[in-house]
Amino acid sequence: MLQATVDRLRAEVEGLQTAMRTRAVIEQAKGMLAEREGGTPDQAFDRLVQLSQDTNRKLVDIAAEVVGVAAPLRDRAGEPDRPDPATPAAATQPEERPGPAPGSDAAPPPGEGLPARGLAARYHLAAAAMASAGSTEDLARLLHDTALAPLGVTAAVLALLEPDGALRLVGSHGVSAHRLSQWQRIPPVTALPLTEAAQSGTAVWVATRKDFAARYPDVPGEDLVPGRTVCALPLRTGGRVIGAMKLGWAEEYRPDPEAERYLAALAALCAAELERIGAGAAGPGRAAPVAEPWFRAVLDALLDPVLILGAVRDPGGGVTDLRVEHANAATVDLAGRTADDMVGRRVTELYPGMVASGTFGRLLDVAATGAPYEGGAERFEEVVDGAVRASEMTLHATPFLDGVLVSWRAHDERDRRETQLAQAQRLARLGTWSWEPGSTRLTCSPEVPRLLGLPDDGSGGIGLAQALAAVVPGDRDGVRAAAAGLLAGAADTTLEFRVGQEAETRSLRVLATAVRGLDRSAAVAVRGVVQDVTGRRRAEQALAGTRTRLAEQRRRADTEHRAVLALQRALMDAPAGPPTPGLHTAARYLPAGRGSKVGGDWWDVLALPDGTVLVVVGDVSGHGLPAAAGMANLRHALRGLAYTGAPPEELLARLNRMLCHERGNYTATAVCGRLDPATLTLDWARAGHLPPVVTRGGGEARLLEMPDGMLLGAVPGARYRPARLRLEPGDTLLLYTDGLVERRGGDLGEGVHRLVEALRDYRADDIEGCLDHVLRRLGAPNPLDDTCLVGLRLT
Amino acid sequence: MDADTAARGGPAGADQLTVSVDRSAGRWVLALAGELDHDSAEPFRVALDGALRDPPVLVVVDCSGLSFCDSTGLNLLLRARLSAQAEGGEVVLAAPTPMVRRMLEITGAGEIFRVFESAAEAGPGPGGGG
Repeated sequence: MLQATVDRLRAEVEGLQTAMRTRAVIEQAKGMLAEREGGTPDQAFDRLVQLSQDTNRKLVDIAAEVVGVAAPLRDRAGEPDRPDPATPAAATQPEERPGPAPGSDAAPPPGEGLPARGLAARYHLAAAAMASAGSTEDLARLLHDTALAPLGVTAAVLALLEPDGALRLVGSHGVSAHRLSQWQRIPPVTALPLTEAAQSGTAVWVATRKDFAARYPDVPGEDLVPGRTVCALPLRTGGRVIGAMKLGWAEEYRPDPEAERYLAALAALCAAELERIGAGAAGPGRAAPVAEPWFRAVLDALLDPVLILGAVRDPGGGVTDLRVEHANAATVDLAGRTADDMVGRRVTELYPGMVASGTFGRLLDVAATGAPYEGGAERFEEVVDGAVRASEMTLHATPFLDGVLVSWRAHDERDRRETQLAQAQRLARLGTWSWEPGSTRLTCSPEVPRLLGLPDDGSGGIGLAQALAAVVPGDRDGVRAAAAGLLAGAADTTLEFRVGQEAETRSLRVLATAVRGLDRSAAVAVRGVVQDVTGRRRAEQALAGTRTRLAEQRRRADTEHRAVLALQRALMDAPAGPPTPGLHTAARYLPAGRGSKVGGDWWDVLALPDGTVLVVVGDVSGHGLPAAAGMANLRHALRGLAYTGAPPEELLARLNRMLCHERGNYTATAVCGRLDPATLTLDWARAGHLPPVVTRGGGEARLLEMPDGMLLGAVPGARYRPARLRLEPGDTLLLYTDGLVERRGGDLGEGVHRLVEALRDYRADDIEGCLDHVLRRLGAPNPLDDTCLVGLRLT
Repeated sequence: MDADTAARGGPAGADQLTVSVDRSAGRWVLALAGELDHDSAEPFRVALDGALRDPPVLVVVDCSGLSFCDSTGLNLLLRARLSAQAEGGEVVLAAPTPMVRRMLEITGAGEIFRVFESAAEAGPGPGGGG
């Protein structure tokens, strides 16, 4: 917002200045026309407007012409230039010619002897412009831009005579600083157009380079003012020559008399302006170095931007503002402006942000007190085209003559990278270091002292002795040995050691490389990286501990599992007594799929002395060895009891009393049956267990009804209801445990239904095949429970 | 009404059991949710032990959330029943799921415990009503 206002005001001021200049010319034209033709100034103005419309040219151009035609070309002093008898050359003054007679017609007479219409107008415009020049450089620029460029002049220099007759360059346009620096002060004896013009007081023209080489054979290399055609004109004011100016054209140029007169008039004008600016009157001591080409060349050679600011003082002498007098070639500011955009403008105008932030105040202090200002890295903000632009910069300002020399360096990129690197190191708990043999200090990044547990004094290094002292005493020898090894010729070395106090040591790992000297043996430097690996070490240790424990557990589990399987195998292989004719039996035992779940299922088929066959299936609660032990207990007890000849319900009741009495904290379920092969009758009872399934020879299979009988080991006085089943040849009886039919997330009823169906579908005569068929259909083994299956087939 | 929740049981990946404990109306209501087996039984064991420390006690085991129960669970109940009885208390079952009902029927444990349709029906405890 502020910047927009400043821009607008400046444009207005420039506009006003232009307007003022043109107005002066128009007023003059009005006056002259009114005098010549009679009538009022307003009538004259109307006439000018009319002319402007008729010829379709700007009013100011018409007016300038009128003034040029009507009035002789005068210098600023208001006196027509007196011709110097010593100068025969082209400074012919129009006042020698008769002016147009009063009463003659309005149109100017044809250009015989008069400056051309366009040039005269231009002269006046140039005069007005040059009157505003504040310095000799300014003057040269305005001279070129407003007066010389239309003629095709591409380069110009202004030079003033020194007391000793040498010529000193004071202003230029279109000439490189480097060359200016070389031609800075031209001794009087040098044969050059400039010196010739100044000494002779006449204009010197050299049309081509060939001519130049011919006339000035001693000039080495490139001429000061580049150009095909060059011309040097004396600068004369108040009757004396004060210097000379030289002009160069890129293309060959032959002037006509009008142009020559024009140039002569310009030269006089220049001389007067130079005198006004005071550069001529004063001695060389007061000339600002800024005007010195060598100084500008030095500044241009620097990599950083440099501004020369001149003081703007109030009437009381206090410095109120600073104006850019020079900016070197490297200058690009925060807003992207270069030297051309900045010269002549005030700091308050260019950098309102600096005013707001207080930096401008500091610059004023430098100018006022003469004490330099060296800022640290700071954030500078300016509003450019409505957007905020910011940059991290370091700015320095020193007093220079009566102003300030300012230089700055932007270091965003470098800063950002450095910050990122430091952050990365901090996060990774990693630091870099280097050491030269013989030095007592390690150079290192800020993270290294932190890792060692030492204070960081910001010096970018730590003492070697200090670093070693931070290492745990027991590890110091290892460190020394590794260092010795590196110096002696070892390649990369990795070393771990601990630092810190006993209560809290940390582990550091160092990777070090030796940098070899030319002779390839002695190390000239050792460099490396150090990282805190404490966390990793601890994790590894914990992990190792866990792994060990886990392995232990697995071993134990394996052992137990094997023991259970061995026990079960031993039990199931126990002799079943003499085979019974007409009865085929088969059994399957599948431990739980998951090893840890192997438990207490069992089956038994036993031919008893009285010819009956005991058939049992049972399931002890729990898993692992305790369940297997419990199972063995019950199996043996039941076998023993069976020899008493007691019926199944009695056997179960006794088992129950035994279990309750033992208080073994486990329960069991079982089906116990006794088959009489002679009568094909099965007497059976169940204790909390799923009832058997029977298949009739015809393929019909069904679940037997459940006689009352609760699980073993729950209630001491539990009673068991007996059941009787009459079988026929071709029938199959299946006893099983719940592992066969029960699955997590499934329905028990569904499993039993599947069992019944599987049996129904089995038509063959083979009990073993039947069992396998059933197991397959029901998806045995059960991962979470043992599966036990006993089949009896009557033939 | 006092209510707090016990932890989940079982090793990672195993069947999970949640036990919610509600002590009010002079009785303990342990609401089970999930699968009750050897691996997940611990919270139930802990909850039962807690309840039994405070005799005489009526413990109502709300089974409405049980999707599985094997011999481990049954054994816990049987043991808890004996402990409670020894001090003049009781362990009853409430709101059994069909699965639980079947288990009770097959094992005959339905004859051992009083079974109610809901925890509310189990009535106030020995401590009195309210």
